[in-house]
Amino acid sequence: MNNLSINNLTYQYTGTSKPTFKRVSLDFESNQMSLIYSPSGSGKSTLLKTIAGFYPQYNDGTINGVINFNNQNISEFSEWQLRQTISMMFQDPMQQFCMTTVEDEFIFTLENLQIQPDKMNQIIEDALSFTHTNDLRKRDFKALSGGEKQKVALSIIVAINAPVILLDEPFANVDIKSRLELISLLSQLKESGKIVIGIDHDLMGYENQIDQLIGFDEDDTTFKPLDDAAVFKLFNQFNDSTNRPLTSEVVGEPIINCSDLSIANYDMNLINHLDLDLIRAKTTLITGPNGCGKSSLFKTFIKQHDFDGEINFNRKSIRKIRLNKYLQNVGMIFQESTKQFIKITVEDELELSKKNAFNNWFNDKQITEFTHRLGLDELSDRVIYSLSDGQKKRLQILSMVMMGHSLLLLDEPFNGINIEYIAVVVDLLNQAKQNGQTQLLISHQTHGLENLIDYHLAFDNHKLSYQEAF
Amino acid sequence: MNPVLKLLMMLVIALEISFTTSVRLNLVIFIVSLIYLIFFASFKRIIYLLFVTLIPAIGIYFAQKINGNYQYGILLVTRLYAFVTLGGTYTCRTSIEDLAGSLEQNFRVPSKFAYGVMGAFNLIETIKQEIIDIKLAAKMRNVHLSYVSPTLYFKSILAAMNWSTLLAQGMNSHLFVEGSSRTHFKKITIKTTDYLILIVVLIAIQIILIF
Repeated sequence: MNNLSINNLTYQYTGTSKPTFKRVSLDFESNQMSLIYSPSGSGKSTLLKTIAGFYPQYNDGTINGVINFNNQNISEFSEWQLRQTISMMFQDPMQQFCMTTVEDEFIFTLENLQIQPDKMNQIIEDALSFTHTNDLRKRDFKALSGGEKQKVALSIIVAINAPVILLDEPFANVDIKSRLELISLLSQLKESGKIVIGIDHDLMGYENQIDQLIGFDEDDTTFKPLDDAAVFKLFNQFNDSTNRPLTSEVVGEPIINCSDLSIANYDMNLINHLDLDLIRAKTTLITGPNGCGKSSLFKTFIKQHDFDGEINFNRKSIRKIRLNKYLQNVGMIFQESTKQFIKITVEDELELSKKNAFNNWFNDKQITEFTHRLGLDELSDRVIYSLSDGQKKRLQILSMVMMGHSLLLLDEPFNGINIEYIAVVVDLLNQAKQNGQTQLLISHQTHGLENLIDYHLAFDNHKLSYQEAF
Repeated sequence: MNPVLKLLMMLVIALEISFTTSVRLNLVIFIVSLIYLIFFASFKRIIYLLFVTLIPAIGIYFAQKINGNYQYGILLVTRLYAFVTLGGTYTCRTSIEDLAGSLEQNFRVPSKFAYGVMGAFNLIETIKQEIIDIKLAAKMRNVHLSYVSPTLYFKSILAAMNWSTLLAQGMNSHLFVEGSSRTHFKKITIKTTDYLILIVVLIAIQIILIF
């Protein structure tokens, strides 16, 4: 029976006036799964990295308070001992892999663990079979989908076999099926006696699986376990997953027309001989399991991926449109926010979009209003790279929508955005749509999007077809 | 052959042909390396190496010829080809993983350094992709970055720094701790024949040089 207790933990980033969180006291035990659920930017990632011992080692912050594992202060542990006691799965698995293939990464980890070479093979096989990914063993990370990477990352955590497992938004790029599968795997780990602590901004799939739900108290800037009533209320908010009807009969003029389109990623066929129209001035949601080719399809649409067949944009083959000119009409909101930014401060970034917009769909008053509603006005002189993930995402969306592309591709734009800002983003997107913007949206999160989505395309058997609900 | 000894051998040979003026030695190295490449490297790679080198080779030759010193031109051209094929023999059969492994296991180089080099090597592709993405993102914002734009460099340096911190954290999370001992799945050894090859090759080169 292990236990991890946090007493009066306070963390403050250097150069900020207030601590990110203060006097956090929490208890975790074996056979227990806990979830920290709070708005983006409240510091749950910082809390997790502090518990894992990455902070303040990797940033300049100050920490106060004590973390005990089985009544022993972890600050007295050697680094190697600490990493063996508390393992952590990162939000972006690629940041955790330093070798190029799955097998090499396992070997690297097991070598660090000082496992004898003759035992490694068995450990690797066992760990991979836990997530049913044995066939990925020899594969290159570059050729894996987001969900596959996440499963491999979890397998490595299993191989490390630490008593405490921390998960930093582990399912951000994972579809519903894999999400439920992964959550049940976490339950199995919990049953085997581990302490499992996760953070997430999405509660989907966690009900009846978690033993402790921890929320953020804005008034005291601290994390606290929530009582049963609060937990019940939160889950109810998330569970209204009635099928929202849509029409599968698409009408209107297409902006993009694909004929006999085939896309492959390395040796994997993603899309086979697809004929499809995407309708102008509508929002089309695209869903499908991990690795089915959603992101590759978007890459193809911005001319960054090879394809066979034909794609026409406004009746002209995209092969014949020069990239510079094409990207004045087609924009994409990347999954990774940081890639999108050109300037250094929030104000400059928004100013750039205002100045360079291809279509001036928003007047100054509307821009000011959306800046305020997205909580960006108080951040205007902040350096973008110091913002939290959720803040970056909001800035990214606003500055891209302001550009006024006639076709906007949105790749998981709601990652890290909490529920009250989703409504604002929906308003913003609707306003652009009224001005004639076509939007294609990849999102596993569909709560609060009723007023936005016009059509729903789902991947099935290497094809995309319009659905009657989402 | 052991990757580090092989590298050492290459470096000694390269240094030697840099400071001597023996066309004969250059030709011998070129021919031996070429034969090695024919056996172990793909045909495409050999053609690539030979043709890309042709461009500077012709340039150097004619530059020297205009100066009236065509013999010196020949020396430089053969030296260039000797360098390129010699390098080719190294990279076609030796992986960066083996080199890092050998440095760590046989030469007691701190594992931090060995894996740091390897990590940086693996990052090259990532950084290349980052640069493509930065330019793409800029185009979508009506900003055109050329190879002289400070923004491009600022963003790529930022990306590289960001990745290096993340890489360190990632390695750390998989229990890589500076100074801690590790086991080794793939044992890399130095065989007696490795030393023998090294000595024989180096002596052979001195003989060609002297006579």
